[in-house]
Amino acid sequence: MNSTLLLLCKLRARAAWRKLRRAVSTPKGALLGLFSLGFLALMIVPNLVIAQTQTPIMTNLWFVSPPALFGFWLFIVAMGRNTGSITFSLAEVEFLFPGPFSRRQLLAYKLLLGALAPLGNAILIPIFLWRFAIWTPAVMLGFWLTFVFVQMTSLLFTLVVDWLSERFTRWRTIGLAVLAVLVLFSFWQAGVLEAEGTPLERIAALESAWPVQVILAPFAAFSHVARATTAAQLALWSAVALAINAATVLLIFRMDANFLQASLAASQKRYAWLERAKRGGGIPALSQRSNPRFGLRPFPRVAGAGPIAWRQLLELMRNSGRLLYVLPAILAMLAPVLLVGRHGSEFSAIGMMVMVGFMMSMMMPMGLRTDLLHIEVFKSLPITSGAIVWGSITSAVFYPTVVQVVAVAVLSAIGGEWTSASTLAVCFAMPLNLLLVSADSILVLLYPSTRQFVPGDFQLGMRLMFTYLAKILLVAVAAGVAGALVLIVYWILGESHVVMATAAWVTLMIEGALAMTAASLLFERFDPSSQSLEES
Amino acid sequence: MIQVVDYHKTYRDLTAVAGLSFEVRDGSILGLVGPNGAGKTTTLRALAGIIPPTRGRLIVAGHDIVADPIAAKRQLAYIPDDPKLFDSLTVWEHFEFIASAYRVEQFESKAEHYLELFELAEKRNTISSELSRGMRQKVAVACAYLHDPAVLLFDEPLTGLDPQGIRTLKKTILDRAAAGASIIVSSHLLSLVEDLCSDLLILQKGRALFCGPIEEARATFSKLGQDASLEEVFFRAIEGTAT
Repeated sequence: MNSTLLLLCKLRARAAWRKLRRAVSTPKGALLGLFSLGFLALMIVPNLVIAQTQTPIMTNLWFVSPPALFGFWLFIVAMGRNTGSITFSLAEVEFLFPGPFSRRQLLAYKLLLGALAPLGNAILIPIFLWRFAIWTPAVMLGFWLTFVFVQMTSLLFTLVVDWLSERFTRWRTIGLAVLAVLVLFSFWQAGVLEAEGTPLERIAALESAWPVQVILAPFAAFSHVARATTAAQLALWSAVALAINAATVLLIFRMDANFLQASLAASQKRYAWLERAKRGGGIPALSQRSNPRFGLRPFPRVAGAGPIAWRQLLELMRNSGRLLYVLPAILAMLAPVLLVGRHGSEFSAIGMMVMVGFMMSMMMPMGLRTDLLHIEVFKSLPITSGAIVWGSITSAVFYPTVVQVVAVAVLSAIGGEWTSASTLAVCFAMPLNLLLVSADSILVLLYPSTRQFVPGDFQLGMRLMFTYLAKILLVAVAAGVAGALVLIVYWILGESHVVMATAAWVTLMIEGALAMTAASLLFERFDPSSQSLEES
Repeated sequence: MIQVVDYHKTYRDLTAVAGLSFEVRDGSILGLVGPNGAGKTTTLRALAGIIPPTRGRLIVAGHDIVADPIAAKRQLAYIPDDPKLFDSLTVWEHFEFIASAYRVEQFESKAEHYLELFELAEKRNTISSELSRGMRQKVAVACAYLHDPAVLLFDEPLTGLDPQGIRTLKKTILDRAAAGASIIVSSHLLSLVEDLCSDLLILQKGRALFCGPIEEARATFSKLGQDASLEEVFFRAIEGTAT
């Protein structure tokens, strides 16, 4: 590899280390670091203790089985989330592309970074899963080789699609049609389409269909590495897995003619995504290009909260494209539980409401998190802080509530009945969202950051984790207070479900209103200059 | 009218602005110049009510921005150096939003006028994330003009504009001043300040080196008198070589 590019790798590693040192040198950073270490210890130590005292409780290691690894690969490639293997940062595009580097040198540089990047995850994830693992170093190696395979194949996939698209404009459609036929054939061959066995048994039978076995073959090698119990097994299957990865790299080099063009396009796409992510904050997986096809009539002014709510709702609606993919996926995940029996159906109505609420609050640009970059504009408007915060949060509560109600209705339709749990789920969607969005707004005003997450940004990674945990904690405390009140009501008035539910609902709404008021006060004293300082 | 009296802004141990006082009369345009980090944007942000002053009084159109922020903000418009438009909203929806926020009745005809003026008519239904840098700047300026503010604060207003856009913006700034608005233009482009401004405020490290009419600045800092360029005045002021 080119020595200058190697130097760049070294400099970037040094920069990441410097960033980490600086991050923990401030009181705030040190506190965050201590909190993060404490959290990691809480997650890891119990697993280590159990691993010392018990034999592995799951000998088949389902999470490294070929179907699980294939599912992971498919998710990454289909969602286009593994763009790191092909994309360059803006600085890289501006300095390296016009620089004295050949295409292959840039490709080698990217492949090296792509192979090194998953090392941290490959070491960390098996530690969390220690109690399930048979031989942890093997699981680590298995994970690393799988991650590298995912990186390389998604890069190869992009290059192949790009190459084919240049020659055959309809190739993607034909490819998808062939895939659909194969999937249907697999279902038929495995007997999934016949009406025998439980849904879970029928789905499990898929693995025996030959098209599925062909697709899973490469993943079987990685699975064997992770499940190795002896050094000989580990050496044999690691060699096979390495050979698969080496073959993928060779294929990539054969396809390198399209590399710069494809990576430039992917980089631009990723930059646009990151810009949206910056504005949305957190992990806006659902964020995508806006579509102005539909509009909303402006709301009445209502002390200035109206235009704020109108603007927020319009942006939410126009950024919901991927919701169409994610919600059916959640429904599909819960479908087997629904089909098992009535009890499962009751559980899934409330579970679905909570899950959709948390997912949307994390992934959609909602509340003040969306508007961190617009706070200057808002602060210069002739509208009070309270009206701005109420307007912003109201829309952010209304929208996911509608989505949750629709999701619960669809689930109930699939389950064939509307239970009391469905009614509860619909009623409590709004208080839950109010608490989630208000808590998020408070946290974003306390810890504002518009920095984009990049590998090695330990501080931001920990901060995101801290934010999510704090949000869950705030909601749990609010729910705890409501629960205590319900117990008091039960003690005084006896078992009246309607009264108990009403008491809980009213308590949660009051708590949400208090949280909104707290957010208003924080907004009032928020200084956007501190945000700019942090950004720079 | 803008009045700033003994304005201080400090961040922990960093003093961004220290004891700044100046005045912008109705109908005049003040050029705010200074090296990077001089406190120009901090001053504009405080005047816009975005950040609170650590000390001092900032009066916008007769209203104290700290004591009576809503009344003050109704009278002002702030155009930052890099306006952040709402990504998913179209150009026209930005007008709708601003009209509602500032209670502008029958805004449509005004909005149409600014669309034409800034050559945005074809972009009225385009979402802002698809606009070029210059077009976003034009939208921000048009939104600022929509409620006829008595005070206008521009931070590097020409960034990204094409020659036609620059000409239009300059003309509209002069027109606004002629109609009685008090305007501050912060810029590193001294030629812009020279073209537009009647008064000059030179800031360095948060302190005013000079504040007054441009002619007076020429007399104070340059041996060449009224023929001196603003660039020469600026460097002499920064280097501390008043004549």
